[in-house]
Amino acid sequence: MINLYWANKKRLGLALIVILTTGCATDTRLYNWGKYEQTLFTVYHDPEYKEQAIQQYINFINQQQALNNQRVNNQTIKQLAPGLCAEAGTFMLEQGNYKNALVFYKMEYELWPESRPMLGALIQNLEARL
Amino acid sequence: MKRLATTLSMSLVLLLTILVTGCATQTVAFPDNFNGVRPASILIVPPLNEVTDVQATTSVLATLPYYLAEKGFYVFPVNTVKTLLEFEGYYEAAEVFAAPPEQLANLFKADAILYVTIHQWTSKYVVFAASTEVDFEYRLVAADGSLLWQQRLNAVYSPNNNGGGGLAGLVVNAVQAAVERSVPNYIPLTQSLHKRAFLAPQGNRQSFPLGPYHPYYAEYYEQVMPVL
Repeated sequence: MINLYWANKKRLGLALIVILTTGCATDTRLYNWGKYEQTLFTVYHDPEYKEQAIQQYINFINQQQALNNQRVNNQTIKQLAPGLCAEAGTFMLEQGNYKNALVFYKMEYELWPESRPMLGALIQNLEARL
Repeated sequence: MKRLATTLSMSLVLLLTILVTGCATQTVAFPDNFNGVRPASILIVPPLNEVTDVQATTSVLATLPYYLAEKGFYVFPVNTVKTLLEFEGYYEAAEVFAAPPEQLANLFKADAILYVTIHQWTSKYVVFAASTEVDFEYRLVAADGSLLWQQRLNAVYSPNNNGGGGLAGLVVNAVQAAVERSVPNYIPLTQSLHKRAFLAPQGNRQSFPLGPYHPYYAEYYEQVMPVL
């Protein structure tokens, strides 16, 4: 009886520690946003650093996609927020880089069914131009 | 010994219960806040700017997606939407606001459209005091053109409410006012308004419902959900 009690107490203690450490302090955000807002601010308001901000943003999207593709040991990686891949596509489109624009638009298309009516036509259009 | 053990484990269970429920109080939600409409995707169009600062529109636009996506909605990429609207001939927010919502929603196949009007985005400077004010009106319209939800909110920031301090205090105030005047706190103020508009606690007639990507979506529509 006493043995059982101590065993349970150990387990409770462990549970308590887990709860205390994870508690309310976990990141409750649903998505990975990177520097999305800051990138838009720079693109809109700071032409001098626009190219640089876009390059960093593109690198971030590529990095996250690579991580998602080679997920190991059931690691949970926060998904990129809705719209983030499409924005990368539009930055590329604006630079006249249709090939890369297509890559990012297709990422968004795959990730988010809601984007398909908007991007389907755009993807077709760009493929016709290549 | 056995009694002590029971008491001990009971108090542990009690403590655990308190810890577990600590962050999650139960509250009643109002799933009918959108008249029974459950949009999955939201199109944010460029905000209508009633003030002179041209950065207001893009700043408000850039800060909106976070709040709506984190509520569980698919948010159309705001800069992509802005660019595509320009391809379609909508260069000014006023033209977008004047277009029939049904037509816009159909263009993107969006379930709802968010219109934001910037009524105030100003930094006033009166000798020793500066204050920054923002005032936004949010309107969510369904794809069929019906109004689902609206809110008008404002916030004022002034760095020098401390008062007193004689002449030295006045000098400090003037310096702070000058800082506020040159780099007004528009972005934190803007974010605080979005937060109040979209992340307000569930359980009142103004609260913004959850979208289908939110982990508590199902519970929400069963009327009860934990507050985040």
